[in-house]
Amino acid sequence: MTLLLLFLGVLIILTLLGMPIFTAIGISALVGMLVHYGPTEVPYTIIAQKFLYGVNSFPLMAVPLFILAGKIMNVGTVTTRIFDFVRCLVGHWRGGLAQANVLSSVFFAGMSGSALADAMGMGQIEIKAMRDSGYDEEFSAGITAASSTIGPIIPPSIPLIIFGVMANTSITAILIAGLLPGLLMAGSLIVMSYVMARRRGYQKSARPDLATLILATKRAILPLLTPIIILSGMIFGVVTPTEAAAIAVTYSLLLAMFIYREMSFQALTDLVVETVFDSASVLIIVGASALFGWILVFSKVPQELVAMFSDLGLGTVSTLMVINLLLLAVGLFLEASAAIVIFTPMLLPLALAVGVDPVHFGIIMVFNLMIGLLTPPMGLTLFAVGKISGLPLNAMTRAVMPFYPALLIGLLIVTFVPEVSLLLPGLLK
Amino acid sequence: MERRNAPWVDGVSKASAWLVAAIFAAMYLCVMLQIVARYAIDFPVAWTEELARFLLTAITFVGATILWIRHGHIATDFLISGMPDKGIASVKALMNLLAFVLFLAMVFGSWTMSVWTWERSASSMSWFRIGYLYAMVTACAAVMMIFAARDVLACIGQMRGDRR
Repeated sequence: MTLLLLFLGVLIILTLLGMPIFTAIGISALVGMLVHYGPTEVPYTIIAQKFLYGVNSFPLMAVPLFILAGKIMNVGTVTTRIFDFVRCLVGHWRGGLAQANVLSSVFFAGMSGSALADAMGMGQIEIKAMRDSGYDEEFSAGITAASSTIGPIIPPSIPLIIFGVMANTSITAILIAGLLPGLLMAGSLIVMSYVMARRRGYQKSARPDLATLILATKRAILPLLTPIIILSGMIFGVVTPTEAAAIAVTYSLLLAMFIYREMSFQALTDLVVETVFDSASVLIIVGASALFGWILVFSKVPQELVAMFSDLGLGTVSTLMVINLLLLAVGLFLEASAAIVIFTPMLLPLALAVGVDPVHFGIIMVFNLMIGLLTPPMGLTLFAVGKISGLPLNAMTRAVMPFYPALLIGLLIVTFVPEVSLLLPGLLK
Repeated sequence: MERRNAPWVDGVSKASAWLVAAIFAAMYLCVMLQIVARYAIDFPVAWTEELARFLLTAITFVGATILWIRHGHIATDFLISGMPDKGIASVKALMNLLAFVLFLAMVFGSWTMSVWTWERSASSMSWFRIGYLYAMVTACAAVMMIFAARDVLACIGQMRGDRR
């Protein structure tokens, strides 16, 4: 346990002092090894082995491929087509553009596994449409930021893939498990935005005629097929999640380059380079965490943590509440994928010890960390939507605040009703 | 705070970015070939998965090295962003020095592993030696180590400049 405290102490100090997270993990692990073995006996070869084999994984390949598919979908008019379609469906409701904002995020989440991709891509269109229709600036930015966190819950999801690799659980099961919690999250945001729209006195608008609806559906039908293609391949066992990601890239390329003709070869290569950097920045942290995981195992920290919690006599409910509070606090300061690779090896054994399914635990963990994307000082989605909307950080924080209760209620339901996460993976067995 | 990169460094890092893009394309093609071989021609190819995994490690390490040169890794800077310039330079000098030590340990460990595994072939590709992967890690860690040292010196220069 001393080794864990030393590791976490060094890690927290280095991270707060601005060191890149992968080197902070590496240095913390090195300090742990120096203390454990002494300077002359440190097995330096282990450092290289763990870093290398931490990323030498076929399921992890889905991460860069899904990132690229999401980026390609963000180019050109795919996002506009989806938003126009959803606007035709629900835009005439009271506060209808806020509902359309949430539903667009649900559809986009089925193509991209990243909250930032949603915020930067759909967000621009959503905020502009809401502003033009007279919606309050902060309300528009708030619902856009809150709804973009649905992206990493609904499959495909980059954080869930990373969790699946860290927890050594079925990637297909964990991705499918995110579907209902993602829809629950969307439902709670829709209800909250409806209540807010009534309070603010937003009026209903005219319902679009059938011809407009048919045209919008026709324009959006091909992008809307993407989630079906990704999910059906995995559900029916035809392809692995990594292969589904490669198919998603192929399909999005077909749409962007050959059907809509909105992307040049040069633009594609720029996106690939961007994808490589986005992926490398996350995957190198996964590599570093393999070193950390090894230190945890040889120092028997997970067993000690489980023993400590069982001595405290905490049941399933209390343990999950403690884990939720810890993860919400972690989400304030740490980027989601870094938090997953550091805390999964420590917290998963605790959850398993009180009878929580690893798939269910993965959903709880990612849900918590997505709320962290909306909280300063490390709220990446807040920064992204603030940049698009032109609102400063304090105004953005005020803007998303009304949506915290909706997300926290969703989190409690997901935590204490395991069926929400486990129903669909159970049907696959 | 850190010194701006020299034009040749930016040029090399740009060329390397194209290299990793090409590696990414090769990885994607390996995965697609795996699907096509299994379903279209009913002839599963054994090496596609292993090669794709190796290419992923190359993307990760070469990409991470370029990001290190460009100071583009994920980090939390809200605590030090409010510090005076001299304070930021001191903290960054220390951080880069620690990173230098980590990369040195990686160079030593991966070089040793490379020598040990130089004759060991990959399970589905007899021509590919596992030592190549460790040699790549050695090269990437060495480059990051050099740039960490450069940034330490740049931060020290900044601190001295402030003192004057």
